[in-house]
Amino acid sequence: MKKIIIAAFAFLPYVLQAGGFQLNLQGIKAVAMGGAFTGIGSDASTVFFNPGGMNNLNGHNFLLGVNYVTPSVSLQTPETANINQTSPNANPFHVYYSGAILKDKLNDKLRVGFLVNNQFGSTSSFDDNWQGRFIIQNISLKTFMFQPSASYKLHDKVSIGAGFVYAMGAFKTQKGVPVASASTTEGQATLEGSGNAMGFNVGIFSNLLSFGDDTKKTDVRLGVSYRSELAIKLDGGTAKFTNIPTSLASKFPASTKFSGELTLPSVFTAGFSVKHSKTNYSVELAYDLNWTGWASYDTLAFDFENADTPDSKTTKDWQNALTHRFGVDFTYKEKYSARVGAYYDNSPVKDGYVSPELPDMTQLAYTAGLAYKINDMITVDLSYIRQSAERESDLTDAGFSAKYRRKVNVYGIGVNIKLGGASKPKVEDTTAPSMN
Amino acid sequence: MKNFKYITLGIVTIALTSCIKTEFDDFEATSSGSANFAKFVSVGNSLTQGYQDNGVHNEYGQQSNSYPAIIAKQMGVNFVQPLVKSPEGSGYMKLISLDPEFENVPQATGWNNWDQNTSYNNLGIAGIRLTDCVPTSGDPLSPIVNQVIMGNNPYGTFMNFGQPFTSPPVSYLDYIKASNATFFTCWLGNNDVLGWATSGGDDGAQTIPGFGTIKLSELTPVTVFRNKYDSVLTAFAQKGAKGVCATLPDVTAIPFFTTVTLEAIGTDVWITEGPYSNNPGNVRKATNDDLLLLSTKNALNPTTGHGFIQANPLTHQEVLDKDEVAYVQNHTNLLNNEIKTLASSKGMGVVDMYAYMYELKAGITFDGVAYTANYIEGGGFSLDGVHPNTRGYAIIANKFIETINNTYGSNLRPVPVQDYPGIIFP
Repeated sequence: MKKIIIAAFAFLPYVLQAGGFQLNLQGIKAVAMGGAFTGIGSDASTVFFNPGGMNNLNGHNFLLGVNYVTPSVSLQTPETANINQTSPNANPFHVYYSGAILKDKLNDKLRVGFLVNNQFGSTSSFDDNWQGRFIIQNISLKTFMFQPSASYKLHDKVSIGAGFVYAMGAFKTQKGVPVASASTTEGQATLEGSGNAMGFNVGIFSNLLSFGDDTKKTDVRLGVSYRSELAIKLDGGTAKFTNIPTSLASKFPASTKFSGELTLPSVFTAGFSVKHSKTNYSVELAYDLNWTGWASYDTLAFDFENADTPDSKTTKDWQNALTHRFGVDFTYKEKYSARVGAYYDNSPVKDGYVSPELPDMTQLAYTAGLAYKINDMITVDLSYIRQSAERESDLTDAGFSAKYRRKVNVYGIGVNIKLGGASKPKVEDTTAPSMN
Repeated sequence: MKNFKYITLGIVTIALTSCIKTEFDDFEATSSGSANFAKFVSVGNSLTQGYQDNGVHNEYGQQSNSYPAIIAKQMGVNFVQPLVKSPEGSGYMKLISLDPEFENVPQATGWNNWDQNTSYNNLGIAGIRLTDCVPTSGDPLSPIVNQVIMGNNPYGTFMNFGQPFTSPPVSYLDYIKASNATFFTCWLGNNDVLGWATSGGDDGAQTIPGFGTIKLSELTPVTVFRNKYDSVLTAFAQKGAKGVCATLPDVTAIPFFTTVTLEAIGTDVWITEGPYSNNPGNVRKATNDDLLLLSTKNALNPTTGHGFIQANPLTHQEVLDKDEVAYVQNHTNLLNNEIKTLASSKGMGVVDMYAYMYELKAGITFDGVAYTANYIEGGGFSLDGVHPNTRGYAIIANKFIETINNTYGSNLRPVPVQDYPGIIFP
């Protein structure tokens, strides 16, 4: 007679959610304007949003920013009135540089840039004994991106840019294993892995129209950018199983290796901005449309080296998602700025696929921010994002259903530092030096 | 103006904290809808008593978490069970390797030394048939036969059925009438088909000298079943009790009949057809449509050739052959029709355990844990291959709760299945 095979337990693939894992916290001015920046290009964060926009900046431009993310997520299941996620707060950061280091030789047509940032990442955790412990207890993903970039001015009104992206990702998750012995009530699986990937970021920027004079001027700008997907190979990850009954140790060994691939989606963005400047103030409107390619790769599956350990199956039923981003900047005397914005994020997760670690929701989020230009060298930006959404859905594969409430406050601060290049600006901007 | 500062600070603090509050309110208080849960009584057999692993035991709260006890907890009402007097209870089988091998844990002396004067809410007694619970009309011997059968059942010693030939017979139905239930669950009838099937399609005829023949495992005839089931529901209805009845699962879908397969054995098996088959006494090779009993695994003997050679086939009691499978399936359907008709004629709910068993067989997942009707690995059945384990009973409790809510408009909450113990692995 064949031995009993315990097939009652399998790893469900983890799902990387748009709203949760894609941070969209790049550039403090951009964050305050709903994340619409592809057609603005006024500070060094354009290295990320649209490398083609770097030709707008003279001198050496640095932007250092950090966001403080405070998520609050609660669930209600048919069995349990309230379950709170116990996720910690997060602090994704970014550093951008854009500069004209070779401008004399190339007739001021070349710019170079660099960025280091966290584009995807999240930590979600629950009490270890919560109702969904066999789906998820803890999960954390951290990514770091490095992107050297260059842009070239093709024409008076058009420049193009490109960057090479090197990404590093580290992943850790824990979940319960529903097997008991006389001395253990249930086991636990801990999976940890890391890897890297390469990709690219390209963009084209146009200062399409400019009319008016020094006292009354209107600029219309356009931008289009594409960031490639990043397939992070998690080879040689470590899986550890604890509190497993002795008779099941061959199935769930104390330690085994696993491989998997974590694919971060491509993002295509088209945006524009309109800026109207008068002697004392300026008003700038911006709009971006993001297309995020979640449909191609959407899950994180595991293949265990130990043959007896059940591998996870892949469920690929995601949809590509559109995000609308809109923002307004009002700047007084080129010194004080106030910004508001909003974005409408369509969830790529269909009903039946919503998982408790990062319950993704279609949502309208609001943003706001302030800026103060201390002097020609330093400008300080502040930003705030408010997300609040609800959703009720199943995770059908896991037989789990819940109502979700998710509220997130994000507080950001950034410092723009500009060295040199103040004498001959090409493009007037809030953070660029004055024309007067 | 100084106060203004503090007031502003207070408002800002409240605004910021309310901004992040996502907690859900507590569930509404339990409502019984149009039913009254004040005195909840469960009638049934081993399934209702909380039997698993070939016994009633309680070392991990197995009996304490019988499905009616889980329902009562969700109702928030008092529920007294005749709990075994020591954790080992009646004795049970324990898994000691995944081969699988078992160890029989012996019963503890006095495990069923229950007080017969206590008013119990769980009236489940392992092994009882509906036909043993109610005297057969027009059969003067029936009360005595029932008295003997019930009085000799070690799982029923919390009831006093009277001493045969010395005190008048008390029937299980009398206990139902005396229960004063306001609400009930009734899952009787499983043993009216199961015993026949687990005996390989045998009536279990016993000749008692000077008394006659008793068929201990015959399929209860449909008309007898109808009358007795009606008596049980009427007894409840006359006291104004509301309740739900459960149908009988297809016993041929349980691991006891689906585990010892030809594929698992890997060679030809010879069987004897039984009295209810098309060719009684016929010896032939088993096919995939013949179901070998779980207990037959140990009867197969390569040394003597028992089961492996034509000259030494499995006896008819060791296999439920394909004719018998069809016979018991048909009989189960007939009895289920009676249960559904009688329950609905009295406005009582029906928990369709027959249909639900097939859903489980196809596979159900709750909160990341998958269950099937497979032996041990399926996660919901206990080691005896007939009865659920505690997780299986929690699944059953949730199904009852769903039907109670649908029938009476109550708002009982289901329970998280995985919070109950499953198989205890070595």
